[in-house]
Amino acid sequence: MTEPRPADVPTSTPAAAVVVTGASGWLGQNLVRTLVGQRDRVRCLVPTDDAAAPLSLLSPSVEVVVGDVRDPATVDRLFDGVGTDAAVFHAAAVIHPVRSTREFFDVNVGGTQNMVDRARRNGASRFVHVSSNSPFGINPTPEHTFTEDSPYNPYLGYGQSKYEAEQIVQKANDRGDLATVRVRAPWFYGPFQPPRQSQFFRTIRRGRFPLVGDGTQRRSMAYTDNLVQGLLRAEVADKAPGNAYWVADARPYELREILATVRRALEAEGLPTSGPDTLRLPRLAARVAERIDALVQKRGRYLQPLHVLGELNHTIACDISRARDELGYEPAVALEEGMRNSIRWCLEHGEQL
Amino acid sequence: MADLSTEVLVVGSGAGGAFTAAALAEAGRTVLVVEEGPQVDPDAHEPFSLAEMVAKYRHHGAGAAIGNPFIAYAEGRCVGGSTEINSGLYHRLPDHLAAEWQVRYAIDEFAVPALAAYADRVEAQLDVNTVPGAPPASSAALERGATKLGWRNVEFPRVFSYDAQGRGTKQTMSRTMLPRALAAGATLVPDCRVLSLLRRGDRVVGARCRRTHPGGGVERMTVHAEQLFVCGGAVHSPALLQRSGIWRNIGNGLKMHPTIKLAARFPHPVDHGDVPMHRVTEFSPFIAIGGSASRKGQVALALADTGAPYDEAMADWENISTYYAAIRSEGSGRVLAVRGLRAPVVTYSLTDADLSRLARGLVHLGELLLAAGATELHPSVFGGRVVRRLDEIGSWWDQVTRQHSSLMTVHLTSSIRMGENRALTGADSYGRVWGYRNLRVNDASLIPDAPGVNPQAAIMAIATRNCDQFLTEG
Amino acid sequence: MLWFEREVVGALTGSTDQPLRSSVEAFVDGTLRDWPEHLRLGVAGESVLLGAYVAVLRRTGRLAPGDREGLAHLIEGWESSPVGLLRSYVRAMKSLVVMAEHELAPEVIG
Repeated sequence: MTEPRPADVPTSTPAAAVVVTGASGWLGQNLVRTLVGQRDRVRCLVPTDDAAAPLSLLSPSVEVVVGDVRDPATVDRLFDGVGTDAAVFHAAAVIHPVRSTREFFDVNVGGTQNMVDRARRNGASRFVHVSSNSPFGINPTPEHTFTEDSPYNPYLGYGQSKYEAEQIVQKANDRGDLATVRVRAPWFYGPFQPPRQSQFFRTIRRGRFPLVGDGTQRRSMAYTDNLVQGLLRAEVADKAPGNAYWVADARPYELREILATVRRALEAEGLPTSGPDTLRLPRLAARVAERIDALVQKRGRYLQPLHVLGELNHTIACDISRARDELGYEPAVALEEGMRNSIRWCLEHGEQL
Repeated sequence: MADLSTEVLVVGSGAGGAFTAAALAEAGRTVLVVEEGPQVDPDAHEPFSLAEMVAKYRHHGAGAAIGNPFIAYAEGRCVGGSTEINSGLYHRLPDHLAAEWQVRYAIDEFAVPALAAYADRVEAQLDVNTVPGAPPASSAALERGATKLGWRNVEFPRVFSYDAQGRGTKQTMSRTMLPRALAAGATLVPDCRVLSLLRRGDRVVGARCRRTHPGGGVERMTVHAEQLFVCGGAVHSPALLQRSGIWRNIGNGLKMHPTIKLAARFPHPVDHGDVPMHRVTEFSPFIAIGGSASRKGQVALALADTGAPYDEAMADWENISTYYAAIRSEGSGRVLAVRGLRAPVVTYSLTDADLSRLARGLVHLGELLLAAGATELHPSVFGGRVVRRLDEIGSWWDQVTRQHSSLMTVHLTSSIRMGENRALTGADSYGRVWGYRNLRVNDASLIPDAPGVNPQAAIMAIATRNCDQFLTEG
Repeated sequence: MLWFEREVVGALTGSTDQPLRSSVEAFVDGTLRDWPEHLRLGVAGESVLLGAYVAVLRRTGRLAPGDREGLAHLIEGWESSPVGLLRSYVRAMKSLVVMAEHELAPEVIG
């Protein structure tokens, strides 16, 4: 794998100290591991003591704070002594709530508000906020691709909460309180995936992953390391503050392509696949799942499989041109290689696929 | 049974009704105002006292919207309406909301400059001032805490006029617009409840009323009128219309500013007379932070909310003031007039996002007051932790639940929205009720959504605008 | 005002000053009369049920008649009941009493 040459965009020096929330999460672990090689001090926020251990062991430059991102005192501790020029990477969020949809708002909005407020009061060189495609809903037509000018169209609680979080982050920049950048990441994949994600590979391996409709609906995906590179570029690119950027793999993939590629990757990593190449599911089934998902969420509950199934019917595709032009972002890894890396990582970590 | 006849009948004498009566009377129309409540001497009771609640509030102050949880609310029921009992805080309708609503509800001539001109006119008729000199201690605490944290805050002006000695008098409707209306020839009949409106096709021809005489006698009467303005507030205007058989988009979409409170104890005495005039705007549009009435009774109520013993704190009540976090909510409610019941049933439902905003508001409020020097915070949450240090506040997130939070609102709006988008509105751009040629609403019901600020300024400006339109129609 | 509501008010009123206690009761009585009917009916319904329950407790000796403290303790327990309507009943009655007791106290009227 060759390192791509970043485009020649004006940048500043990366901060010596960084603050990372969601450090023990899927994206966070990838981000922290990259930062550890580069920065003097990586201050991490994790929710539990268990989550702290693997990170603390990475390097003496890692300092872990255990606590709740909603809690003002915890965020005070997180910033305590990092200096006034740290870069902040805010990845802490709830995507799949455990108890109720209220968690979306408590963490994604409340936590973001806390972080933005503390970063402003403490001083920070830049605040890079990990956002999502969910404030934009689905593409209006199958050929459409989201750009940074696409209008907000939040879907359900998660979308609304990420939308409000973006508003808070942008407002802080517009008011002159803090230099902020919003990085919009779609469906991501890569090493350090949580155990629930192994089900994804298992299901595809056995040919039981539903291909909704004809599978030509397009989904942008972001390999974790590509996303990490995008976040790091957002930290230093001069043009970035006040803006949002879509960061993903070089192009969206058709759903049928995703399934076929994952099956090839599994085979290439020594895991024979079985069952039909595709398990077709009529669009109607996915639409029904989507309706039920909406009803369930309106009652404050959340059922992940229902939500995921509902989404499989749709195109959610974005255009990374602006990230390329203004951040000098260049995705180095594409789907097959990325999936092979994920699979290999799972196997190395004792996951049964 | 005595009958009365008039050209214009105005039902309700609050912010909307009083401005309507004054504008039309001064334009030479014959105006009769009927007011359900009594005429009460504005100086007879201390503001926010029990005696005032008994004399001037509907239900002695105990309204509640049914839902999970119930939300307590209060309305004025007296000559002058809720302006006689409110804090007097005055804030123009935010420009961005006017612009949003103009589009969403298709409201004609609702552009920001036009509304600003009406607000100017309102302010020329009422005395709107900030507090001369230093603000009271309870309000200063908000400013102090916010400044320390770098949070945006502002002192709201109030409809108070000040004499040479700096003593303030709230410019309520009974002190200002109602005397003007009367001086211009209008008549005011208090203790007169409108039971229903009399309709004939697409016209309303009068109102059946029930008037209570000072001696105690009750009299039924009919008021015949050519034009009607219903200004009973966001609960009673739709209730009256519904009782009169008018239902389409009447009473649904009720909006409030759901509010969660806490009592903050300081190491020094605070004042208990005025409602704080400082507001923290850092978290707008969703959350606003300010102070509430804090007489001994309100302090006790706030302390009692956690369910824990509070005698020790109560002994120190003079050092305690109550504060709130209010939200603009996604949820909404309904007003439903039920046959046989005098009072309408009011419901309101909050979404999970709303609950989260309330929790977040309480947490920010707590941070703010600790920064202002408060030593103890009692949240209006049953089982809520009494907080003395910042690292204890995080527990409030999970304690603010539907089952345990004590919520209230003092603002109710949006139950008969205005605008040309008939799917969403109950009245046109100037408050004329759809389907009727001579029936208008001119109060908080028209405001299409919760304004996020005290609504009286918006009510008065919109009422003035709607009267202008009425007068041009001849 | 129902007999049980009088008892609840009596149990919730902390002061031993008899004139104050009477004023509080009078205030609650007048306020309940002025409440929206559906809320008043709801509270009355609960008062009937809870009153019957307490009457049974007294008849079976588990609550001494005239034991105001015991009743107060019982009511306090209801405030943390999993049943929402029971909690709101206590909350509503308590708010009326707390407000009245503190606002009608002599040093406030003075």
